[in-house]
Amino acid sequence: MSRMLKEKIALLLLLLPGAGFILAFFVLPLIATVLSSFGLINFAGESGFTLAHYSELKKDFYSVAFIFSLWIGLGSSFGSLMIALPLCLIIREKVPGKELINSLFKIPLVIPALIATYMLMTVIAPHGLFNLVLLKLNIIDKPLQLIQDKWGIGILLVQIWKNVPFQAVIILAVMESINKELIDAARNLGAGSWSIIRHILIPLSMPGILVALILVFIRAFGGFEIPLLIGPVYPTTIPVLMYRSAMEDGNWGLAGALATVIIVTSILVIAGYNRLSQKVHG
Amino acid sequence: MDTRRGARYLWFLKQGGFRRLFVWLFITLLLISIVVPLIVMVLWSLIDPQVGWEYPDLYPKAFSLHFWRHLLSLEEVPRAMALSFTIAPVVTILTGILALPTAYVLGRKSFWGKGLIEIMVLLPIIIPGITVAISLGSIFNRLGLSQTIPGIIMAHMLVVMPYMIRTVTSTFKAIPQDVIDAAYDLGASPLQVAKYILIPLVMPGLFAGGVFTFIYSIEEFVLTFIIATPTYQTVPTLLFSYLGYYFSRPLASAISLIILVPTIFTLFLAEKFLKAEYLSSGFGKF
Repeated sequence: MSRMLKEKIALLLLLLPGAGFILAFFVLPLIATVLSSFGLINFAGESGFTLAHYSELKKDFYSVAFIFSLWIGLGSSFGSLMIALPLCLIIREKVPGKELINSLFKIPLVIPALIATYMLMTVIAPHGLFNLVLLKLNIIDKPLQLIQDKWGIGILLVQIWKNVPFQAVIILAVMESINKELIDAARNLGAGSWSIIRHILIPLSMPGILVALILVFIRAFGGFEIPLLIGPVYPTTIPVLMYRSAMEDGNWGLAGALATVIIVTSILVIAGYNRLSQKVHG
Repeated sequence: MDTRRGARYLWFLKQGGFRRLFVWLFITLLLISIVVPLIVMVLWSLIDPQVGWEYPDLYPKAFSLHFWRHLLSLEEVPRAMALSFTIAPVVTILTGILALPTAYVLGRKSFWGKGLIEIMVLLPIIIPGITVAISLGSIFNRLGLSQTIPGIIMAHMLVVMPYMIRTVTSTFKAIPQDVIDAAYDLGASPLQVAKYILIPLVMPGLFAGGVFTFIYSIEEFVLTFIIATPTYQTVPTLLFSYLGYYFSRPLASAISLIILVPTIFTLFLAEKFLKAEYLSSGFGKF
């Protein structure tokens, strides 16, 4: 056996434990899901090619769910960014109590989605503390409906609460790697803080900002337990419908078609990110 | 007196006080939004069932440990806790062992098709887990892994594997080739190089990956829910059932705190010992 071949086999064997695990238990089930949406694999019954599950998706009911999921995905990612970005800019500077802020703001990062949902639900419910304080301060005169509302405000609040530190950690890592001399040079040339932020910090953090937006979009778009608990019954998101059609109606093919919609959307978003990040990197 | 205060106020604004005011307001609101829900949860877990927490009260009028005692008397709660907290370290160790060789190859070798494998390793992060949950469930069914503890462990490993591979890969990348070459020049065997150079240098990465793995294993819900309930309950699936069929706010609060205290503690521990770049390399740039 030639040395080259031996080395290749060694590489393959080393790759196998980690990458092989993902291949066997993520990629194959993923393919099975897509095949089941065309009726080619049937987990309960006979199989045969069909597009019936996809023509089912033409119903308004499903397009509303798709638009609602997009809204949740976009609202969560940009909503989180609107807080995470200023937070990063503040933490970068010398603020008193920086250490404390630095560890406290990360708490939601490790709080499970289920608990985060339940915690915020308790606070923002019509009879929760948030409405109570606003009522006592006479800011509103009747409780705001923030959970199970048809705009999904509750879902967005939980997603934003949970994802601000997630985005901030990613963006901060990129921001910290920006050459300090560049900022000093700009300051010496008379640039104010605002123009340093606008012309140096934000453009150079763009790769991190994009990753942060994409990851939160996908997590929120494909998230299941948060909309199930705090979202309205109608409209609802694609993952919730997928769960219902598989677990409650036993319609695996339709569930597969809905899963395929999530998969294709995620892949398109990642592909879009790749195009964009090539532009950003020049 | 008043004019002087006014003057001082104007001076404050001129010195960039507006910006400072904004920063303070921002940070205060952020910290309130994080801390208040936690406090509300502690209060709910401590209410007195005789008195309760009635609507227009800002805080409960009486406290008791009733629900904590009740919680620990329910057989399923200590059982779920024991399961969650034994599975998490097992998942962490197994994931570390499986990820290590793969991360070594991805971090230090170049070969045809590497990009493809890197993308594949990322898939569990960039494609929502629910899309595989159902077919994984039926594959596990056929393999006899449904409703078993090894099944839960494997499902958790799947969710955390990409994070582990990525953090360890980036630590492998950072090891200077000179160190390895020097060891070989001095007559070290590949095994010695692995034992005395690669493994010690990659430890921080493994540790950082382990923090992720531990936390994500404790919080994993979707796959556990589909694969293991009702035979086995982890703390999150138990919490889910408390939020659904028999909703009890005090009980749900107490269970949540049981998960939160150790995970927040793990976070602070990790913060103390790890540099920020380790935490972010798990999902930083693609």
